[in-house]
Amino acid sequence: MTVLTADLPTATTSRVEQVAAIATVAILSVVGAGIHLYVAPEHFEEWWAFGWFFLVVAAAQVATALLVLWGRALMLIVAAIVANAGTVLVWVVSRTDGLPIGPPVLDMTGGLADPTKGGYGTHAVGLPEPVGVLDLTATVCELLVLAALCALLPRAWRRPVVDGVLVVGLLLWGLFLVGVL
Amino acid sequence: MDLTRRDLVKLGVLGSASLAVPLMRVASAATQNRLAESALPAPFTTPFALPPLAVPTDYDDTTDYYQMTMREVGAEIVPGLITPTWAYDGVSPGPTVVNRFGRKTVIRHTNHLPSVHPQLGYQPWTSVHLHGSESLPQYDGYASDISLPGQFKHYRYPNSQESRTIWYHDHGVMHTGPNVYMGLAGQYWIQDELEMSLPIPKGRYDIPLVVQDLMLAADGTRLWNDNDSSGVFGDIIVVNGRPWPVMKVERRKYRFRILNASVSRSYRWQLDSGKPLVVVRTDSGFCASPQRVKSFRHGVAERYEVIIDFAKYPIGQRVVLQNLSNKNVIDYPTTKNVMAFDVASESTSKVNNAIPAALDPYNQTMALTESMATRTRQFKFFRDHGRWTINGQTWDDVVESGFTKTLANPEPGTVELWEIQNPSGGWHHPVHIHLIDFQILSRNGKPPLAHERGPKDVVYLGENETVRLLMKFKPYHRGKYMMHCHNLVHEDHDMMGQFEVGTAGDDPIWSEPAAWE
Repeated sequence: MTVLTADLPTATTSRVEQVAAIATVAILSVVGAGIHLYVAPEHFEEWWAFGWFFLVVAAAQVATALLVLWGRALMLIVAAIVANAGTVLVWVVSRTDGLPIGPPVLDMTGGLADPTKGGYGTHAVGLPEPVGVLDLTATVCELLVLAALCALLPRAWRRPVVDGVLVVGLLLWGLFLVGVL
Repeated sequence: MDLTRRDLVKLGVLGSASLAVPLMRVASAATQNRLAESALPAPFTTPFALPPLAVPTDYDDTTDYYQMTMREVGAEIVPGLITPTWAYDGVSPGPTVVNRFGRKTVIRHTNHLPSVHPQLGYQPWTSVHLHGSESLPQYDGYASDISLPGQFKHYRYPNSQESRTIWYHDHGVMHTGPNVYMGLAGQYWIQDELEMSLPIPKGRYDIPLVVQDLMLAADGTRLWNDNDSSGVFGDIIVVNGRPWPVMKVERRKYRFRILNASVSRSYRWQLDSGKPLVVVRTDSGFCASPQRVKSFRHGVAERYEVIIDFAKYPIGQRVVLQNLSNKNVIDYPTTKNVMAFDVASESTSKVNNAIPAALDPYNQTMALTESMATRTRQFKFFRDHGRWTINGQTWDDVVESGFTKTLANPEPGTVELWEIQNPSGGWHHPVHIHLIDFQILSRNGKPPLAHERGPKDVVYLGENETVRLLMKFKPYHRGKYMMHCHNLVHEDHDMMGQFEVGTAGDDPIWSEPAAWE
């Protein structure tokens, strides 16, 4: 069985550029993983599912770094692009409309009220979180990793993937302009 | 890299959307149609006003009875704009309730607020706290002892403490900040023989000042921006609901009962004339002697009674009460000058126009000494992974424990020393302990500041400060009471815990829950 890899002839990507792209992916993925690991404990305190999400993202980012250093199977690169884009999208939703899921609502009133009507507070689903330095840094890293991963793709693969990324970007702008985000 | 310009543009669409959309949301949340500074009234053009006095609906030999309804009204804070406001009995601040020591008060508070908050979308449950009263647990405004819209509750107050300026405000769990920001606050006075015997200003020279800050949108609604849970800081300062008011005064002494009813903003007062402010009473009673200060800082929920002598000024002079502000507060050009006093006429009354050298040298709380303390406890107020905590605990922990978890269990009739620490330089905490009065023993090892040398129930826990507080739990005190940061954003985001005095106290939630009308 033949495994398609991104180790393509220099006609597609020069050696120097390829090394730069690999370094970008490896370094920034590790930076992103570090940030996600750092904030995982506070998300575990909020809800176990949030905590695991951050651990899984961190693990995936470490795996991405290893992938570009020691393999670069095409399908895995595409998967890493999708994963980075997905992580970015989750962040955008969490900072605009708020995530549609969250921890079970804690009844703060001893059963006197419907806890789901608490709204404002620390446990509300659907409330945007503030933008912070760490999460913004992680997102910038993910976007740069995504671009560098695209650069590692052969031309034949790159166009449809980049076009897909374009569609997602246009969708985001569209949702913003119509007031959904 | 081998990405073409076209590729980069395509990728840039996602990049720009991913970064710009959230940041634009943040920017719009911060400014959200904020009413332009040019649309605000010029300072000192709005006449000063007093909150009305509450009128009992009934009374008997021992008790005065009141009824108050919380409901939404339209207030014209900025001329020409109607601001939806939550009011006790139709006014914000609420009516001033004046009581005699030893005579009980019952207030039937009815929640007629809208079914949801107009901007934040929550159900506005309430819990009325009489801040500074040794009320039983079920009447103390325990955060989770809530009244839903359509419910009422009778709150019973003993008025069994020395004379003081206290205040009532909402304390509903998770919603205290927005509820108070919408207007749910008012003063409550207890008067006793000592106060009546002192020749200090009284009657029309004894003035409540309820100071709040807020930010309005262009349509007049209140903007709520808690700056990543650090605090809400408005650009409009209102005194008794009026923006930067001007008050006509006679050439004589006045007593001002200043309540900081803001959500997060602390103030540092001074007169633009440079003349002193004379602090005669702190949160829970008179100082032993008057404290003359050029300026003093005033945290959220603290009350200071200050005498200003306008006889020092000629008729026609304007004296401005200014706010010099404090660390870690967001200021605006409009938050420096708060209100003005226009010296308009000679004094029409010569009585109660003095500041005696001794005010209350025998105050029970100030008579406590460190050697009386049988127990020392430490409390650290700090931010942990984005959450505001006390010793690492939050109100969530109390709720999850079935309201059993406590930070302390003092015994009735004992004196304790509580050391409260703020290890951060990035914020301060106005710490409020329910039920009891305390004396500030020291601040970072030094004596308390001049203006806080009286009995207190809120302490300004400044940046990197440790304060030591001495307090007595009275023999009849029982039950669970809260302690928390009174920056209401911190409080709502869980910097709140409880202590239990003795055992077998009344249950704060189930002893007397709210009832449907």
